[in-house]
Amino acid sequence: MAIVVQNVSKDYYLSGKEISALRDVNLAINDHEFICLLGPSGCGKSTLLKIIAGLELPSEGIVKINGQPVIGPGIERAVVFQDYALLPWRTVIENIEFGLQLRHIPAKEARQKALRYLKTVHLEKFENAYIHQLSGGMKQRVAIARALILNPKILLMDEPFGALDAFTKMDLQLELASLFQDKQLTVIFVTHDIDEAIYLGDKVVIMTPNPGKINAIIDLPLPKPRFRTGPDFNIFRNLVYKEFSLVHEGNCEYYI
Amino acid sequence: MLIQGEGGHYNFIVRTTRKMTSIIIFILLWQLLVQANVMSPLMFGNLPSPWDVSKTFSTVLTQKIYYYHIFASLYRIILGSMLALPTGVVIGLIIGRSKLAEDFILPILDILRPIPQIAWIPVAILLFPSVEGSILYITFLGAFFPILINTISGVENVSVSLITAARSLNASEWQLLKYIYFPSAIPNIFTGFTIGVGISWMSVVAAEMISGKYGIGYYTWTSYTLMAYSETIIGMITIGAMGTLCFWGIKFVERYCLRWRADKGG
Repeated sequence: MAIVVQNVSKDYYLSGKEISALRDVNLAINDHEFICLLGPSGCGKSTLLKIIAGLELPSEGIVKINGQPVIGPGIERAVVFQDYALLPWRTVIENIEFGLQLRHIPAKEARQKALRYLKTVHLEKFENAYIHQLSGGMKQRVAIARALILNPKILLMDEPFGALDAFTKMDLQLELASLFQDKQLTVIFVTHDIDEAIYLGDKVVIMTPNPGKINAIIDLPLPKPRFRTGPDFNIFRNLVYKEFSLVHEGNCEYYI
Repeated sequence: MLIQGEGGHYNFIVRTTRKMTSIIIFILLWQLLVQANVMSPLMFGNLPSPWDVSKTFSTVLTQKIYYYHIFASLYRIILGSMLALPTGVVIGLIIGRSKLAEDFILPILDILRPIPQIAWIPVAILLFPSVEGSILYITFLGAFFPILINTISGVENVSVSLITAARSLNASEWQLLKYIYFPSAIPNIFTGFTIGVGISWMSVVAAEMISGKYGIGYYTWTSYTLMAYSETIIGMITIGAMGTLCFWGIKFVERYCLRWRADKGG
């Protein structure tokens, strides 16, 4: 599904002072594209994601999905959060089927589907575990299953692996890359990890703060799966690093 | 729990012995003070001795009327708090979710809340056609306010990220209430219920002392007026023991219902 972000601005009022979280953002995302929103904290990347998710409304501008303006959350989109946002009073399987329950799918059918997705994220052994019994990586697998079970076309991920250790993170990145292929998803992935953005993204959208805006968009025409230690990988790493050091020198906005 | 091996086992025996000794000393002291007929500064000589109490207790335990009083009080507590639980939770959820309801309902409740349940007894007697009704009302009131206040605070302290996640899954307002706000508030509801049943106990005993025809509070007070002081002490002990049993019962149910919490077994 194609997503178009048109002239989106978002202002907050904090104790009477206006804070510009996003200023005049334009972005076009193609169907089955993996977009990484990369930037330091305060650059508005999470705000942009929430606006696309329909969880917040822009102060100005509009987001369109297949030509339809976004006015709230929709069935074609699902969100994965950094803090997992799982319901602690439910077991793993009950968390995965939560979205189906909200859509009044019969319990038996929902459970069967949930069991399939439990398998997809390799948590068969933890079907009846409570959330506090899981590690961070397992929690995020549950959250991903909860999102995917609704067959979304667009998966919105807000620093999903930000709280995980390096090894768990690489495992999950690998699995996400293959889910992206299998399910023909369009993914918008917020991160402040440069390597993660280059490993996963078809495009890296570089954002800068004060006010939050898009500074550059870098295409990553590298074949997947990618090799984190390959020479091509490093070429793009250099490119992104350069992009961020430019941030301090001027506000030039250009596209490669 | 910390594994302490032999030392831990030894420690447990030592500590239990100390605790038992403490209770034995308390009873011995009571026996001595009564037996020596101490009248100053406190008039211990007026009290029955633990020996008298235990002798009377063994006969009281065989009397049907004793259990009848216990069940009368238990019945009031259970009925009163079981009425207070859904009422407090539902009104608490409504107030927690709607500013309109908060502005209209909460001021009235805030005025009534600081009034001790015992102070309600005259009005309760005037309001209700039967004594039983007025005692039940007092019991209900004791449990209602703590449940209400804790439900409101549970709803207000719900995790924003859970709400956001549920909204991203297209949850309706009603579904948010049912699947997020209510379960989030359950730990608080249990806290409120535990406190509420405790207050209910105090209230029911006081109400029975003033206006009851049966019940353990009535039993305690009537024994006093009949100068059957051993029975008065037995009444007190019974009230304490039943309060503790109620507390344990609630804790047991709570532990099961909140088994999903990291700090509650699990």
